[in-house]
Formats: sequence, C-alpha cells, structure tokens
Amino acid sequence: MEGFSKLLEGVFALRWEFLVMYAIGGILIYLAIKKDYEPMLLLPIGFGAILVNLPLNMIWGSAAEPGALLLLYNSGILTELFPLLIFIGIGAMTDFRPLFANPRMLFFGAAAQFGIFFTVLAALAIGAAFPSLGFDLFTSASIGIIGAADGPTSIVVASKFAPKLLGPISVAAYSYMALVPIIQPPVIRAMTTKEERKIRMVYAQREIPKWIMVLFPIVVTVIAAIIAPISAPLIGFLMFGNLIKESGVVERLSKAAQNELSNIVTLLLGITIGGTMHYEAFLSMQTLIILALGLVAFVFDTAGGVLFAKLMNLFSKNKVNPMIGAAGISAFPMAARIVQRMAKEEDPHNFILMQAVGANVAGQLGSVVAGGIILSLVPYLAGLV
Amino acid sequence: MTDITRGLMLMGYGLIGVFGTLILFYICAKVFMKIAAGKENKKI
Repeated sequence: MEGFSKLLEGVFALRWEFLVMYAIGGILIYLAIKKDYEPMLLLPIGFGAILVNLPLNMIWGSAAEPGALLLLYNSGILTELFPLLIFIGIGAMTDFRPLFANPRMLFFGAAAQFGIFFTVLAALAIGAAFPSLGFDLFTSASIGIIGAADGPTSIVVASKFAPKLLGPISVAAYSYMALVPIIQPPVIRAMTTKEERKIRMVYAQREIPKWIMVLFPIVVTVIAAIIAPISAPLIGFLMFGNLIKESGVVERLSKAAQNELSNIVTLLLGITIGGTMHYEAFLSMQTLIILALGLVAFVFDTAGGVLFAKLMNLFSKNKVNPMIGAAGISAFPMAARIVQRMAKEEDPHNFILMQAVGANVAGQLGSVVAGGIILSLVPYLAGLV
Repeated sequence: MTDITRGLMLMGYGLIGVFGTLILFYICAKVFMKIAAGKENKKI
C-alpha cells in the first residue's frame, strides 16, 4: 500500500497555485511564440516557471540538495556571471559610430533614465503607505531598475538587492522591452506637437577612424569605473565585447561573443530566471505592483527623454526632433525604429533613424551607468541616519 | 531620515551621476573627433 502512495506522491503534492503558475508560464510561452515578444528570453522563462512549480520541486531542490536550476542560480545569477557574459555579447553587437556622428545624442541616454529614479520614489511611496509590502530602499531600487530597459542590468541589481523578487522584476523588464512599440508612441504623442514631430535633422555621415573605435571602449570603462567603481564589471564586460569587435583582429572571438556565447548564456539565464518563479514568491500582491511600476518606469523614461530634448531645443540653434529623446532608452533597436516610424508618419521624407540609433546606443551606456550608480549609492544611502 | 528622503537623494545623486558620466563620454567623443579632424587636415 505504501508503494502505491509513493507512486502517487506527485499527485498528492499538487496544489492549485501550481496550476496558476502553469498558466502564467503558458502565457509567457504563448507571447514568445505567437507574438514574438522577446522569444529568446520569454520562452525559457515561461518553461522555467513551469519546471519550478512541478510537484516536489526536484528541479530546484533545496539548499542541502540543490537541483539543476538552483545550481545554475547559485553559480550564474548570484555570482552575476550570466548577465556579465551576456554583456560581452551585447558589446560585441553594439556599434558606437552613430554616436560619434552626433555626440549630443549621449545626453538622451542619460535623460531617458529618469524613469528609473521616478519609479524608485513611487515604490518607496507605496511602501510607506503599505508597509506590509516591504518596499524598502533596496527593493524599490530593484523595481526602479526595470526602467533601465536592460535585462542584464536589472538582473544584476535585483540579484544583489532583492533576490526574492528576481522573477517578477526580470519578467517585467523583458516583457516591457518587448512592449516598447506599444508603450512609447502614445507617450511621445502626448508630449509633442505635430510640428515638433515633423522637425528634420541633418545627419552628417562621417568616417570614424579605427583608433577612436578602439580607444573609446577603454576610456569609457576607465571613466565609469572611476565614478562608480562597483559598475566596473558591468561596463567592463560590455566594453570588452565592443573592443574585441572593433579591434578587427579577433574576428572569431567577436563572432563567438555575438553568437555562441550570447546564445548559450541567454538560454541558461532564461530558464534560471524562470526557476525563480516559484508560486510562493511569485503569486503575491508585490508581483502585481512590480508589473505596474515597471510600466510606470518605461513611461517616465520616455517622458524624461522627450522633455529633455524639448529643453535642449530652447537653447540650441540646431533643433532636435524631440521624439529622439524617447530613443534614449536601452531597448535596442526597437526604440529607434519606433521614433523613425513616427517621424515618417508625420512627414514621409523625414529620416531621423541614424540620430535615433545614436540616442539608443547612448541609452545602452546610460542604463549600465545608472545600474552601477544605483549599486554604489543605495547601500550608502540606506546607512544614513 | 525617511525612505522617501533617501529616494529623493538617490534621484538627485543618481541623475547627477548618470549625466556627469555621459557628459564625460561626450567630451571624450568630441576630443577624439577633433583630433581625428586635425589629423585629416594635416594629411590634406
């Protein structure tokens, strides 16, 4: 009789919460396959969410007897190894040339990080109103970093400050990155006039010498690490990837970083993040609020970028199409494409894609810098009496 | 000090930090392009 109950222990261990998580995992897989929303990540995250909610949870295991996913989590997420390795791939895929053609675009990469800090404040205000949610400075900073629109940066910050919320924060970050084409246009339209959206910008195609492209990643790494030493791994790995691409002498390494390394780590990262979505951690009011605040972060990123562009126009002779500011978020290349599409809707002959790409690349730098600054400031501010 | 005050300080310092760093990148990019233009002019 005992043997029989052993056979059915999986059935006895079933809970209704598992079924809810299967549905959530299923939705993520559906969005990945049917809607093509960040399929490289949402597909493994969705399946990971199902895996970790199977009866008896053998795949995650326990601290004493870790399963495969917990081993991956301990070695790849807690150590920050997976996101950092992904940064090498992102760096190898990034081309900073559009930035050199118009260095002013760098400012939008900073302005469009506004949503991060606004969302931290919003999370703290909610935390003050509802203390049971536990939104302290560390948790709020982890929620705010969704506004970096940069998955690996969000994962690094959340794994340091709020590891229990890594699942919902990562899902929010990647989902909203995929939803940028839906989120940004109404915000841009609400903040700009038709005339502003029609502003044309001259793009000066310039030949950028190779020595600049080689020196830039090195200088950027040194500057960022001096300002926020804790950001050295983030920016260092990103720029290392870029250096191997721009050096032109290690084609095989560059291709490996862009393809094999990125693909393998993305696969492991996705399923491990999904593995953090155990129902006990995920099915909570916190998750719903994090998803809502993630949207707030993207909206205020967009607004911050657009408003800064309008502010620049007050002082500048060469007017900027304010929509360019919205491309200052890190979601590459969607944000730049949206800006070009909207410019074309207003004026079929307006071509601002290259400027938007410059702002978008600046956003990739800005998000990593913002992540590093948050990592260094939050523990200091939390210690202030 | 309340958490909201800390959040406001994070916003202030954070935005200064991000803008400051990217302004330094901007200066680098400008200087690099100036040097490149100078080299190009010398060649001509």
